[in-house]
Amino acid sequence: MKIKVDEISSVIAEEIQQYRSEVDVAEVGKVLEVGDGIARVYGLKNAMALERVDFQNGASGQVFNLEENSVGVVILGDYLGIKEGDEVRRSGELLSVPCGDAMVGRVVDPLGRPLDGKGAIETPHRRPLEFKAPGIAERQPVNQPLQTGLKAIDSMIPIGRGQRELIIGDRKTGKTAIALDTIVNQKGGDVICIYVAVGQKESTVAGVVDKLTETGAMDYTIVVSASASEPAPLQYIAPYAGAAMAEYFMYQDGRATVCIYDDLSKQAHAYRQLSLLLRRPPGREAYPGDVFYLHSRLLERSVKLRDEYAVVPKETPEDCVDRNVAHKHPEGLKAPKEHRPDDIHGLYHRPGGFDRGTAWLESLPDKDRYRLHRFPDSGGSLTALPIIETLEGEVAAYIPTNVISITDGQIYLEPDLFFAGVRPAVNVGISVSRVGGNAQRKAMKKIAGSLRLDLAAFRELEAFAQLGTDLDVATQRQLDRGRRIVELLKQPQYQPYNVNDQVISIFAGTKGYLDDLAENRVLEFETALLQHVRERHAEVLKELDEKDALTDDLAEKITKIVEEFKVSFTGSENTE
Amino acid sequence: MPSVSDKEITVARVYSNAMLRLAEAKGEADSLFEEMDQLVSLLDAHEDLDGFLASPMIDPEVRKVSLEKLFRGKASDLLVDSLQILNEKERLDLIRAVAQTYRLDHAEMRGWVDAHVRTAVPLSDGLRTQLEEVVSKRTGRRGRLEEAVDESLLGGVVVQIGDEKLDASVTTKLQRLGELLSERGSREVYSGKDYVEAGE
Repeated sequence: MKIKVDEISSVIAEEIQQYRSEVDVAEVGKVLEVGDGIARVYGLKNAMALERVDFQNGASGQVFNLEENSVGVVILGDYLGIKEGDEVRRSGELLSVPCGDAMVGRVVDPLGRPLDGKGAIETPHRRPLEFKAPGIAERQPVNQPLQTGLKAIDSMIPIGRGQRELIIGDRKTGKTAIALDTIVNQKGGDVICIYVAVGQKESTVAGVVDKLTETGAMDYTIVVSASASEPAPLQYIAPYAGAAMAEYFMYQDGRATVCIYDDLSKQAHAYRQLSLLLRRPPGREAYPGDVFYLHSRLLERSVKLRDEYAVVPKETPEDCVDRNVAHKHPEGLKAPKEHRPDDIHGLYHRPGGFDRGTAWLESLPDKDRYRLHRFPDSGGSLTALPIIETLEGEVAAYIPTNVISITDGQIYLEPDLFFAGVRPAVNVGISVSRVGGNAQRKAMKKIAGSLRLDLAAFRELEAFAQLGTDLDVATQRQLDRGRRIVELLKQPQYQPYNVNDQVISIFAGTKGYLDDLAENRVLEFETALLQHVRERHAEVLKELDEKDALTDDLAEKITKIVEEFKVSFTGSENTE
Repeated sequence: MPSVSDKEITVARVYSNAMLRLAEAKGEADSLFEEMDQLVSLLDAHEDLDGFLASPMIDPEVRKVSLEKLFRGKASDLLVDSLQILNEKERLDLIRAVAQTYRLDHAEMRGWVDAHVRTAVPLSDGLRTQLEEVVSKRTGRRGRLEEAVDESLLGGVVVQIGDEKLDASVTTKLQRLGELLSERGSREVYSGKDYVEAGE
């Protein structure tokens, strides 16, 4: 082995030649006291709230408290290397994280520094950590589903793109499992996933990363980790960093993103710690007064952005994002209702905008020279799946009630169900999705109604049944149905179901084709049925995909298939 | 450097303002500034004296007598009287804070600005006037230089005016260059370019 000295020295010479030294001007202060991730800094008269400052040892900090003669700074990094009297420099910038395609597939800390040993991340893009959520005009209602691949959730607690759905439950009830299944289910889709781990064990995060790599999910996922050994300030900023990385894809490329915050109760703990150390007054459960704002401003950044259309000259390229190319309606906002644009720039972006744009285009005398253009950076979404860990099922504690009130619904997981073998351990009685219904596939919506009813009836009767009294036939039938459906909704981890498969298996359940099967054979039947449909009746799946709805005609077809299959299934059983 | 808290500064300002007003009326403001400076360096040199002034264990009556013996005649009456007032109010532990706020307010009143200058070698007179000019040009005020020799700078000069720091020292430049080189180094490593020849 021989080192190429010449080449190395030429690189060094080149670097030195380019080095232009100038007088280094900076606004500096001095550390008065430091401890527990917090520093009080004398000076920095012009420092602004939330500004980034740099310490002598290379750590950065964020200005939190502005006092008369000093500022309180939280240290994002190694605070043990900072001494009294150390110099602190203002940066004049807010905290920001690197973003972009280079981040995908990487495991990073909340400042975007790689943790996976795969080398530096070269990306020119950065976004501020704290970003104001878009206003009313930039949004549209949730209208596209985000499939989790879990039967129990996609059918009864559907999640839409841009929604905030809380996953809440005690420890060890499968909260993270639901989030990971959702990530795995996005494979082959257009969704970018961000998994933010706050205050977790490094070993747990390593396990998650391994599993995501194994399933191929890292190809479209970024993992942001601030483990339990990181200082509290890093744990506090981690969810904002994750949101900023997701926002890049949403605002720049109009893509759909999912951000999983695992979990926000630990982030609240970290924020409580640093607030108390900064001597901010404690409130309920010793959390500071602005702990609600901590979560509300984070979750408010979840959004479904509006789709923007405009009539543009035919030669406009498909990837054009310049809103000025729009061919404006001459009458502007006074145009007839069916052609009327939604703003003074001639864009169509409210519900029905596509139809109105098309209508106007059709009415143009020289319509061949124009086309309806969809701006490719519009219509992105950020779906948030925050996770909250409760203690002994106590959802009335401070942080859980806060986050429940902020989100658009919650998936409630129960240890009792978990240990009874119902996994995912979703309590469908008290889990809700307040907006996801609008986004649900029509076929699914149709069959999910009866599913809910069946389960509700079952829960009511279940208590009676335990008394061991004699039951009439109808009641017994309800109970049988309920038990089969509970069985049907069980699903192993990392095996997300395609939505069409879900429709067919739930269809079989709610129509009663499982009622006379032994409970322990339900999943076996389901697996065989789905395989049968995929192999012999692929046209039905295709039709489901195309029509997006369960027409009577299609329902009849599926009924026939299931009936035929059942005969062969039970037949083979009898001959055994 | 300052190690006094916000609270102390607030209290100390009350006393230093009063002293400054009185001194200015008597035309002794500048000399009192120098005396205060000397007092602080005296305290720095004699820890015992510092302890004697600050300790709440000592009866103010006893301290009053000692203060008279120590300072009367050797310092201006204004300073000694001020010390006695501080003693009476049991605020002598704030003496450093008082000196600091006096210094700031005095400079403010005169339209001066304090500039801390660090160089590797002592300043020559020519350099000093040049630096004073630079400072007044930058701030629009008369610069009052506080010089210090720091050999670790190797060369060049570091000037700090308030919170603003102008660093033209050789050490900093070398450090920058070092950072730049190591950054380039890591880029070269990740670029996958081979700087090692196989063989031999």
